[in-house]
Amino acid sequence: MIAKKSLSALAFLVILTSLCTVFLSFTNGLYQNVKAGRQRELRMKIWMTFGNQVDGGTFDREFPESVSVKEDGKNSFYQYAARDQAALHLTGPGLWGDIELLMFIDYRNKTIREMFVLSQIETPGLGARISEQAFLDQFRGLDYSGSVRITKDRSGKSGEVDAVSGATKTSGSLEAIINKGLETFSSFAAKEAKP
Amino acid sequence: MSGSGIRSSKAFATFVENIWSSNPIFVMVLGVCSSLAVTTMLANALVMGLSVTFVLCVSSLLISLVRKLIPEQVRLIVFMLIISTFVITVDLILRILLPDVSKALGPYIGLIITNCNLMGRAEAYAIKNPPGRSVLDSLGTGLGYTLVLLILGFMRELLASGSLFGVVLLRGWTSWNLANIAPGAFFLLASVIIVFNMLKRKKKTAVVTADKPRQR
Amino acid sequence: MSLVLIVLASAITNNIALTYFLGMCPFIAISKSLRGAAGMGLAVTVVVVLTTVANYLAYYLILVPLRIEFLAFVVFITIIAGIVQMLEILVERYLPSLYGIFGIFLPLITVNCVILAVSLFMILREYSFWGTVAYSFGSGFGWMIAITAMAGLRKHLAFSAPVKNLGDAGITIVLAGLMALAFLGFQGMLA
Repeated sequence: MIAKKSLSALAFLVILTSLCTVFLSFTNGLYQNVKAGRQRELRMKIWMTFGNQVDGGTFDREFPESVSVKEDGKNSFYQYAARDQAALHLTGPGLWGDIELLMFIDYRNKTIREMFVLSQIETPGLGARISEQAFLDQFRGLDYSGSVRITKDRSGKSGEVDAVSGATKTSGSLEAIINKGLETFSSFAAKEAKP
Repeated sequence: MSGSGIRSSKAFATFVENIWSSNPIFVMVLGVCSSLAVTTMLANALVMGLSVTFVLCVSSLLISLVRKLIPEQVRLIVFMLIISTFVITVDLILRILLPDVSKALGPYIGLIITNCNLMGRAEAYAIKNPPGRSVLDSLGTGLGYTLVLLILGFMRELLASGSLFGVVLLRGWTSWNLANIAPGAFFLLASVIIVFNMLKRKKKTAVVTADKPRQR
Repeated sequence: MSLVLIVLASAITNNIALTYFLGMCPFIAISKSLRGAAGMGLAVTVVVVLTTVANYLAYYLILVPLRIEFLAFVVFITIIAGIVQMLEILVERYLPSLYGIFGIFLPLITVNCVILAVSLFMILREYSFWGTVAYSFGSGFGWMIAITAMAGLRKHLAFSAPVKNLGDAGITIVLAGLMALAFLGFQGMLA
């Protein structure tokens, strides 16, 4: 008697779990489609920032021909060999959640061309100010041959930018994401240099 | 007396009661965590409140519909399974429709699962009552919860950024950073509790005086 | 040593209760007695370390390879419920003296947001295995510090008269705000 009750309870659980999993897989499928669409839009933006026109019909063929894509965890690296440029799409932890960056670099001169913060949820008025244009403009032409430093104590060396006051943790997180991304990209390039 | 099941006075009374006198945050002190974390921006507060309401209603509906089939011993596991499934669903929907808000809410959407209101309503009401009433009960709880979040979000965004829903309303406003950071959230919540209790007490005395027999 | 940094950061400078508002329900309800607070804190610390490590393994060894990361919430809460249940049985049977101290809190812990939140943050921040151990221990320990300090403070309330309309929950929230302010002072410590 008892065994039968437990068995039916177990059966109920199995059926319920299966139904839930199927339902969730379906919903997740929808989400993955949307995600793929968004990634395509981002790639089009990257293509345009490299100085090219986007042709809807041929884009899906043109892009992978000229741009080599490498992925490492949450980071994607787009190398445009024709002009020694690259776009680094980096995601890393901030204080409250992920900070998502799009960083365009000239890897021959080891300078950062442009920095975009795609998303962040740091404290409004403090850490969130990393999205402000004034802060991001500091990265234009920044030399990253040493490491990039975001700090309040400027020593005058190259590769430094002013941190947002009152946002030490966010500045530190941002610095870590940038440097780690640059390091990973350099290691890819170094591997390719070896015959 | 013509009665449709939903409009019957008892269910409706529960609905109203859940919004105010049994408000999930002020009275039951449940689900306080998210109310403090996501209310820095009014838009996030609204979306969180609506998400909780949605998960509450849908899970109560489902639990109530199958309440006669759920085996007694696995009752709590079933609740958790159903609630987590709908929380994941809400998370995915938000990522599709409102990606910025979804990123702002971050892990706190997942924490809806541990919001005691959900298990509480399932255990206290949905498992014993027909679907219409259960949904109404959950709707009331969800709206009461959303109300608190909206009040907090309104105050915090206004004080900290001078804006509401991202629209700057107070130009040149010196931001009260206290409203942004943790301590401010605690203090603001406490102030709202004071006002709530004051109003509740006034209502009570009004009812008591109204009930006093007229002196001749 | 960066592991020590993780522990200190999660316990003090970014205390899980006072910065991230996690575990508020029991924080308010159980901080009335010092003994209860310490017991609950201990229970939370033990459970959070065990469950976060288990969830780490489940996520990276099962969910990611099978590409079913979206099921994380369900899997995590199930693992948490399972571990808490097993812990309850084991402690009651083999360590009855400990049961008196923190065993009674175990059933409450499954729906404690701290436990699930630490797992979720651990995934978000991509900690390594030992980083996960350090982070979960620091979080649990920090929560324990916060709730025991709160219990200590509330004892002093017997000698004061807070605003009546605040009620029990209200004054605890005010105290939590003051504690959070105090903890802000630790911010620059780990620069």
